[in-house]
This record gives sequence, structure tokens and C-alpha cells, in this order.
Amino acid sequence: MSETLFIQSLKEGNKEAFRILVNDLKDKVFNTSVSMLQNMEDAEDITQEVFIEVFNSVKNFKGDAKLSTWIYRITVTKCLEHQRKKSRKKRFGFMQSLFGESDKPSRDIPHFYHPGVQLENKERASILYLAIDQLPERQRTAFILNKTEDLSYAEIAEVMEISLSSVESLLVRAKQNLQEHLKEYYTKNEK
Amino acid sequence: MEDANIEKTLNSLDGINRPVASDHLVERIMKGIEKAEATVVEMSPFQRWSIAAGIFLLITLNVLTATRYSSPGKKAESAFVQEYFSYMNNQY
Repeated sequence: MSETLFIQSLKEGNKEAFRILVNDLKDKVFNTSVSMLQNMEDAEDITQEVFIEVFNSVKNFKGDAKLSTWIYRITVTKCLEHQRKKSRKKRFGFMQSLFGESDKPSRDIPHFYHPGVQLENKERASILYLAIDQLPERQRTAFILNKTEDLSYAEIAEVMEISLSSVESLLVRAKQNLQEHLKEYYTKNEK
Repeated sequence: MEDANIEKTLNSLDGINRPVASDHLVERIMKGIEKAEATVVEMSPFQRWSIAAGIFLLITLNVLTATRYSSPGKKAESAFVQEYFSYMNNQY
């Protein structure tokens, strides 16, 4: 079935077409969410939310991008929204602890072990994820799409709706920042 | 030494595999979609226009009632003001 016909049946609310779509793209959505959120449960929740959003808004899909690109875009947006919500909660929790309204001790970010990383790289990858978490949103998004989803610069540009040169510069800056964060981490932890 | 360490860490995601989402997740997604579908209320254009006309009628009646019943109050108020000033003019 061609993509146009497939999209048409999605627009008509065909359940079987949705099941095929979910089976085809669930791993991509889940993997992107896992790397963006660094939490398996949150990634499952976001994956579900993404497909419900696709179901609700596929009627408005104009077809100016590939379906998978559009779904990546929804995934990234949902993940960023989720993270912003979480950091707002964290800030609120911090304020509460300052004024003694909460007796929960503040805790450091736990190490995240991505299930798809090769065994010999597990420890290093978890350190890298700590550094990724400190990157600005756009650099983090570009880096994750490139490294964990293996998207080309052109695909990242389409997902993020920016130019190819912007993707290149985001990735260069991301790498520079990661190097700085890692340098800091290793200096601190070697003492 | 440190630079090599950093470089190795930066490349630690090379050859990463996608984690496979469980079948349970697929079922969860499909249930979520069914639930979302159930909450969407489909309306015909006639129903939509009827509701819009009803709301418009309600607002118009409210405005009409408000203007009608607020006028005597205003009249009484202005009569009182007139009376007050004519009294004051007569006094001074």
C-alpha cells in the first residue's frame, strides 16, 4: 500500500491501519522517548500519548513531510513538554524545601542505563546521559536524534523544522558542551 | 589520557540498539486510542448550527432583558439628580 493510501485510511479512522502504524513506529517513538526522558516508565507513557495525538490529529496532517517525520516531531514536542513539567515540579519542590514545607530530601539525578547500549559501554553511556541532560533543549534533541535514532542531518532538519546548517551548528555546539561537561565530571570524580 | 577518556565516552552510544517496546505497550496504545475515539463527539452541521443559534438567542435575550430592566433605575437616578440641582439652584 502506498503511503498516500495508508494515510487516507488513517484519516478515515481505520483501526487496522492504526495497528500497523503503531507496530511499525512504536520502537522509534519509544527509543526517542527513552533517550530524551531517561526513564522507561515515562517513555511508555509518552509513547502512548504520541499515538493518541496522532489518532486525534491525523485528519489535519497535510502530507508535506513524511509520516514518520511528523510522528518524530510530535514525540520530540511531547518529551520536551514532559521535561518542562517535571523541572517545574522540581523547582517547586526545591522552593518548598527552602521554606521547610517539605521534608523530602533533595536527590541527585540517578544514573540512567539505556537498555540498547552495548555492555562494555554501559558505564560510559550512563555518564554521557548525565551530560546530555545538561544540554539546552535544541542541542539535546539534535544530538539524540543523530546518535540514538541515527537520523541524517536532513531528517533532523525536517523533524526540528530548521535548516541543514542550523542542525550542523547545533551538533557542533552540543559536542563542545558535552566535552566540557565530561571534562568537569572526570576532574571532579578523579579527585 | 583525559581527552581519550572523554572521546570514548562521547562515542559510547555508537552501535546502540533500539529497545523493543513490549506487546503490552501496543495493547495499551490501542486501548488509549479506543478511549480517545469514544470521547470524541461527532456532530452533524445541522446540530452544530442549532447549538450556535441557541447560544446566540440566549445571549440576545439576556442583553435585551438587561437593557430593559436597567432603564427605570437610570431614569429614577437622573430624576433625583435633576431634583437635587433644581433645589440647590433655588436655595443659592
